[in-house]
Amino acid sequence: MARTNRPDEAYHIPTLNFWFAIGSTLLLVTCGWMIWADYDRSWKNHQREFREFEIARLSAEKGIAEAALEEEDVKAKLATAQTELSAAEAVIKTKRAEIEAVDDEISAISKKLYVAKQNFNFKGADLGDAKYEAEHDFKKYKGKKHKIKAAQEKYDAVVAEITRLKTEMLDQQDAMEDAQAKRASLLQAKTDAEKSIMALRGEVIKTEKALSTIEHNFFNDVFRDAPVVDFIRPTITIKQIVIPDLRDDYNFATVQKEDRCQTCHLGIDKKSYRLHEDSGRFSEASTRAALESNLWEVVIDTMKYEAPKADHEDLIADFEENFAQNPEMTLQAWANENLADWDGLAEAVLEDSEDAMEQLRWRRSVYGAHPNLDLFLTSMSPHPKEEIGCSSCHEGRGHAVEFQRAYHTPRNKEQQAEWEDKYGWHAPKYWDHPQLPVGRVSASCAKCHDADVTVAGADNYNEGKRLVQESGCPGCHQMAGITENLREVGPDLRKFAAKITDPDFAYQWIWDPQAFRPSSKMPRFFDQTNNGYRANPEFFFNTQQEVRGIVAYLYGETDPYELHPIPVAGNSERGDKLFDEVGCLGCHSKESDGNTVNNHGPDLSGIGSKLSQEFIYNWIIDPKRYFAGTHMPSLRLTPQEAADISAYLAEDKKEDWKTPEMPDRNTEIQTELLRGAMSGTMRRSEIETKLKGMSADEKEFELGRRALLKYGCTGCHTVKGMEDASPIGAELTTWASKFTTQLDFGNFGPKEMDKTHIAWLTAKLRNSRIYDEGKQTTKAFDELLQMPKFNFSEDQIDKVVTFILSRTKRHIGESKWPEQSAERQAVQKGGWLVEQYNCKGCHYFQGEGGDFAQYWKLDASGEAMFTSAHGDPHFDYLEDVEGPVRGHVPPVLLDQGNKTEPAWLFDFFAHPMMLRPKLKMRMPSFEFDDEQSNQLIKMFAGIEGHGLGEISSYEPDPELAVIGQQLFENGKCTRCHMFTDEDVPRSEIPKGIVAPNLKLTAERLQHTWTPRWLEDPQSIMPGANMPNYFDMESNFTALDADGSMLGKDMHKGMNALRDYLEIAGRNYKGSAKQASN
Amino acid sequence: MVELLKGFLNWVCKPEPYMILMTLWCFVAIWKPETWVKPKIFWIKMGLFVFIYVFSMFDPNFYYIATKGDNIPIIIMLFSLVFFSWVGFYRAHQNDLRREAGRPLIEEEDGDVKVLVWPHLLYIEFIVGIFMMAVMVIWSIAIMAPLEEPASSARTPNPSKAPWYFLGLQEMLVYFDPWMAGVIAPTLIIVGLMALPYIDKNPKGNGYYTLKERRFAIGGFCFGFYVLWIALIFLGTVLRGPNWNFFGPYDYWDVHKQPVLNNVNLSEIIYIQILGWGLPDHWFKREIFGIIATVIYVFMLPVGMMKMKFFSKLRLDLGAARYYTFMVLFLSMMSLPIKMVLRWTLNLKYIVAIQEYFFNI
Repeated sequence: MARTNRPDEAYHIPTLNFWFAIGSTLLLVTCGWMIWADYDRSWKNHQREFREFEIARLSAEKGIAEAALEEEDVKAKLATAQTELSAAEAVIKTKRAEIEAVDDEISAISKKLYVAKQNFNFKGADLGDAKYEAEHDFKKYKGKKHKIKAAQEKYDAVVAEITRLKTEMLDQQDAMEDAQAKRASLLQAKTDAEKSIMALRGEVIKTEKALSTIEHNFFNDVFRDAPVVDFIRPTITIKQIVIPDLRDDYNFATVQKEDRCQTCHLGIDKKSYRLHEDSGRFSEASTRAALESNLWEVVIDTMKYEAPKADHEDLIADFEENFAQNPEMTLQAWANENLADWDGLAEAVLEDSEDAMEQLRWRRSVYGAHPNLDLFLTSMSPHPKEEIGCSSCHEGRGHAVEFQRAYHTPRNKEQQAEWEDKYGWHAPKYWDHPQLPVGRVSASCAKCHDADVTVAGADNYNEGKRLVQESGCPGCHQMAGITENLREVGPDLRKFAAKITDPDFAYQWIWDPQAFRPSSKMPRFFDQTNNGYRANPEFFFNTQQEVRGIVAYLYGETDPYELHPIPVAGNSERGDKLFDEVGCLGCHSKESDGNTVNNHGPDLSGIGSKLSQEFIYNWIIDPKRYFAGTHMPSLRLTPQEAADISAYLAEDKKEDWKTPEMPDRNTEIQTELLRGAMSGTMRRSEIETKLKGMSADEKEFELGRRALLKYGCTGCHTVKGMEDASPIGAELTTWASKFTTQLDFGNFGPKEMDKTHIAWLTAKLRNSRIYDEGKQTTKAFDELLQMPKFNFSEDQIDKVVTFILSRTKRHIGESKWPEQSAERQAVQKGGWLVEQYNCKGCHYFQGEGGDFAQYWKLDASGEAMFTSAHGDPHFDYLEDVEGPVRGHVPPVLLDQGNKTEPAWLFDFFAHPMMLRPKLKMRMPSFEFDDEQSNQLIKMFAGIEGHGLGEISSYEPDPELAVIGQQLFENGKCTRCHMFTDEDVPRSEIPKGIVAPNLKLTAERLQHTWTPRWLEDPQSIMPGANMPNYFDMESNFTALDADGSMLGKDMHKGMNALRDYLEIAGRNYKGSAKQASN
Repeated sequence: MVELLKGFLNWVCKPEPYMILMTLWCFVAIWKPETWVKPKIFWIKMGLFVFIYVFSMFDPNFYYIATKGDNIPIIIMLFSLVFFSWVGFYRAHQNDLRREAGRPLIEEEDGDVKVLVWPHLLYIEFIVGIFMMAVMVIWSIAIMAPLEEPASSARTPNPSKAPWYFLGLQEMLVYFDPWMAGVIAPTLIIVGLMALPYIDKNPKGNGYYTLKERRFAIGGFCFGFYVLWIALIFLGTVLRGPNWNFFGPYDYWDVHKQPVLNNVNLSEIIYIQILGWGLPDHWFKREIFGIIATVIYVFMLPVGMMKMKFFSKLRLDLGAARYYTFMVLFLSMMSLPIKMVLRWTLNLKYIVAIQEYFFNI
């Protein structure tokens, strides 16, 4: 187009000029665009917005502070101070000449001081030089005395000069101080008045000061943040935490952790931005005023427009009073409560405020503070942000300052849809560790707290861990740190034949454990979506024959177990009462009676349809005889008691239960299955020879043996002949660090299932065979997925997933781990035992447990009675258990580490004895070995923050003991406490005696504990029934009315009582070393 | 209808029809330029091409691949190549027609007039440079750098792809031993390209477009560049997915796709499939047929081809040294399509497979 026909030109130059102009302009514009694109970042908008909120919030805070000044008494104080100030100022006026003279003096001195300081400092710099030269001269002139002397003199001269200058400076300083003191004394009255005004206006001044740093002005608003010049000192900056000793692993290099989350989440560590736990609104009034103002306006406008005029003001006043001021109230609740009288008004308000609410939700999610500032982020918390950062727990990409690139993960499908819609969110393609969604962050606790039995505050993680352990997951799936500690969760099957005498029942149980007992923890292997009749009839029949084989094996390979005959007739009514009260319900539930507080052991409803009375009798009287590894303790039942309980349990038959017959044996299928199973390790000719030599029974037995191993039964059960079987599942120690591409999603494409660990595992736990979907007819029988289906609820699945997500390689350096003190370790080790033996099913300590007490309620007459109960998940022993009940239920173990003598407790574990006469429940004999007992004792000490200490060798003071005896009698201690040297059977204890035998004090209690207990029982055990005798205002006089013994010395009295009991207990003959109830 | 079209295009893009069609197109373009270079026909074809592209962009799988940051220039390259090739062919054809009619060529029209370098060359270069910079800036703002996950020795990306300009070489790995495809072939390409100016002493076509006068040279270039380089880059970019498996342009890149890979060596074809003897133990006896075939191809074919008039003339024009050098290079280039055809028809893996010495052809 710019071509010409002129011979001397190829192009028409003016046209080229035109295009040059166009091109240059375009380039200029694109350069501007480039600078803008680089400058305009979403995080800057967050900071701008947050600054507005801060200004509004501080103004609101200032308003609140100023309002406080308007209160009468403050006002009066302020007025007084003001008057004082005026008076002082008047006085000062009269002394003007004097003050001016001092001011002149100060100004003169200050000039001199400046010079003196500078001289001194400069000379000080010379000194270093002089020193260096002198030392070199000494070396250089070694042996030349006069030269060395000269050098020394030269140096000394400098030192002398410095000394002189210093004195000069100090003189000036003193003069200055004097002058200033003089000035201060002249102005004293004024300063004092000002100070008191300042003290009253402190809050206002503080907020004013804070406001002044962020207020609007040209320099702050325009210049500092302008493009290009914003490298100097911008107000908008990336806020990052750098943690050099935490490293992010980028495969070929590790880099120090740098978390920039706070660039946008600006209120995350600010207390002012805390959110109310239930309503999700900002807790602070000033913050609400700043961030909710839009919402308020909308609501008020709507009410003005929609409500009848007469009611406006009331409604608005109520709104401002009850909604705005009350962070617990949600708008919905407020509207429903207050606007119901006007037709459609509540709906109108909610509808109109939708946008504002939406905006507010967004503000909360971005600017809201961390929900647990006591535990995280703040400098006083155990996880200060400067040391732990954000992405250490939350994962994601800490470097990022954009929503998408930080790899936020939505908490659920709805949020995902919302994010996709609003922010174009998509699942990360190139980042292996996106953020853990809210609710699953506790998985990261294991990075440092993996060795802890439970992690305080990590509820989902703890519950997931508990579920994984009690469901026996580690039996098949190795999980380092978990598998080693775990015993098999199912019963020992080596004496199986004596327990379940009906093979049909055994078949039915294995085939479908929940058919008989819906709450059974045994998972289901058969009749699933990949081996049920609908999936593939061939597989269905195969599995039937396999289960037949398993039954055959269990009956064929069994140890003898002698069922002792029941020596006395059992009475089921007595059995019922015993069952309820003696301690069975500390672990077991019995749905058929409506007793479901504890579920550590199996539910015993309908147990009579499963077990014979003989077996139950033999089992409860000595559980370890049948199953040496059981956690079921002995309750030291007498034959009569055991007979009663077994009669009661055997009578409880499951309604409508009829054990179906197992399918017939099909030797053909069994042979074919055996052939398939053997082909992996044997040649065809070998297989055929072997099969030919086997009878049908032998084939079934062999098939059963192989099936037991194939399905991993030995992961939970001990089976005779398979004691050394190894786990069959995939190791999960670092499962969460697997790449998603390593997870087999079967036929599920990205549209049907998110390609994430969470989605994969959730689906797998819902249906453990889901990834065989669509492969039921193409897979071989041996290739089928085998993981059984667990009986988890959706909520439990969520928690298990959270726990499995914690199995990761991404551990944090040991420097950040919790300190492993001996006490801490003792608490953790003991805690493991506590969990295994369900101590907290009965006892309350560490803020939880004691659930058994839920069975005891006060009846109309105020007597404590056993009543059926369902477990209350929000049960809190200290709050919910009333005083009179406490004597009937197992004691709380608060302060246990300070209370009992370790040696006594050790014996008590071995041979529990009766301590509390009213308590029908028995401390079981767990048959701990010495190590276990010690672990528990150390744990109790550890909970109190110390070790066991030294063996007590306390020598009581006999003289003091005499006083003690008198006090003991005055206090009528024996009205409630036993006080006897002998073992007394429960039946002979007089009514009213409810408290432990005080003769035991010497042996049982630590000598330091008794006085503390006497001083204030409630502080040690809130709600204890022990009266408080040593309370100056009331009962103290009951013991020593005229003060003749103690002279009002409380501590002397407590020590006297203790010493008396220590001596009195020396004759104790009933021994804790003999089991007694 | 849409599905039918997609199915057809998926089929067309399979390596076999794709390579055959590309080759056919290449030869038709050279032997029969009269029709397709006509602007009307060309622009209709170009329109069709654009239509297929736009149509494809509605498919999520194609869209995902085509909009990846580093694939966008490849798509642009395809369109611009077609356009500029047409410009060249069109002018060449015009010149051929002019020469036939005895009229001056396009390049001769200006006669011997000379103009100054400034402004007539540098100024337009400068203006183009400015526009180019503006475009690059816009590009860099609009399209994010195609960064992927941190590199890891434990997990390479799947598919692992070479830089786009090497995808042709990577495609050769499907048909050749890595040593051949990764070392020998690139060396030969570079050496060959350097040698070409010394081999080609034909002065025709210097400074003007022509097709008729340089059919063999242009044909060789077109086949080597368009079919064996550009077409393979497209194949490698759009049609090779996880595990370097073939996927149609509208297929989902499923990592779990399992293609059949039952390839056999020439020795197995002869000794087992044809003769039914079983493989000899010694490698030389086993690979003798492949060795003979290779020797014939490399050393005897250049001589044998002189029986053809074209090649005997070439031999005379170039002289022995140039001729044999050229023939070795030419046959090396042709070994790729030959190997492809053998793979598609006979599942042939290697002609010579001496694993004992890591030597495979």
